[in-house]
Amino acid sequence: MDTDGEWIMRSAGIGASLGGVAGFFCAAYIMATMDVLSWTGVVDTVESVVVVFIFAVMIGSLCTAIGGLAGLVLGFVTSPLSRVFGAATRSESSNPSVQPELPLAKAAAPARFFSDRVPISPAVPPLQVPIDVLLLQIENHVRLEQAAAESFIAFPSQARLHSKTTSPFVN
Amino acid sequence: MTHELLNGLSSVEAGQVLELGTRLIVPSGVSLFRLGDPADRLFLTERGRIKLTMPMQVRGREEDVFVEERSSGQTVGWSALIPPYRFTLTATAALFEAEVIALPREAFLQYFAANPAAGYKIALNLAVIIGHRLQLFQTMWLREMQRTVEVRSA
Repeated sequence: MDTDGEWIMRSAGIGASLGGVAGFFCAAYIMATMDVLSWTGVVDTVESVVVVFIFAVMIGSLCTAIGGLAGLVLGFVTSPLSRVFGAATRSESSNPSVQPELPLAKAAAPARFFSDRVPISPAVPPLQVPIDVLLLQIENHVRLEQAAAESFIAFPSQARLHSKTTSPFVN
Repeated sequence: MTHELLNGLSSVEAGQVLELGTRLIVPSGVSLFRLGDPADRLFLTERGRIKLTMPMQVRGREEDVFVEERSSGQTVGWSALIPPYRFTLTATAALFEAEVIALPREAFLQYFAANPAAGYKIALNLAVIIGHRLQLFQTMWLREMQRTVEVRSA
């Protein structure tokens, strides 16, 4: 899962790239279609190409800066979403430095073709809640089950016996 | 304060029973008794809440897991009157300190012998308390079994 800073920087990078590419080609198109440039002779054409290129680079640079700033702002605003969608963005292509630290293969493990520093997938525990939180969840589950059982004892019926609770342990 | 164990007793009889006991203050988080301890005293909760727990393996560690909570007026530790006189749960004062009246089994039984009518009422009250626990956990057990069956047959 990305941290907020990494999310913002990635957003700024994407914004700068998009802005730069879009600015470059737009500027090139606008400049190339202007009447002030001549495309008749070889010399004129070369001169026009150079002018178009220089203009496109200048505008593209400007748009890179603007896109980067826009991406920065957008990334800052949407950084809370990075936590929500963190699981979805977790993939093999993501930066390994932001992955949770995983136990590495021991030296005694069989040598790998490219590297021995490969996480041992079976030993990787799933993302776990702290044990105190888990114990509170268990307590909450027991209390909800007792309340459901009390309800059945007070007015026994098939429906009350198997009534659902909101316990996350059974939903 | 009305105690469920003393329901139906006259105020004189209830007073006589309470005089058999000793008032104890149990600070928050301190155990009144632990699972496996000899059960030679019954407790009437005067104030606060007593949390009953049992050990369970959670992530490879033994943790005391919540089973039930008893509050003022309720009885804790009826194992003191039921052979083999060993506590099968751990009782701990919950968030705040609790106050209980500890009734020694021997004194209690002597009182029963000397006052059979009061002893009979207390025995009936005890049957209600134990019966309720039985029904409660029987229901909870069945609900868990139902879920296990659903998971296995899914």
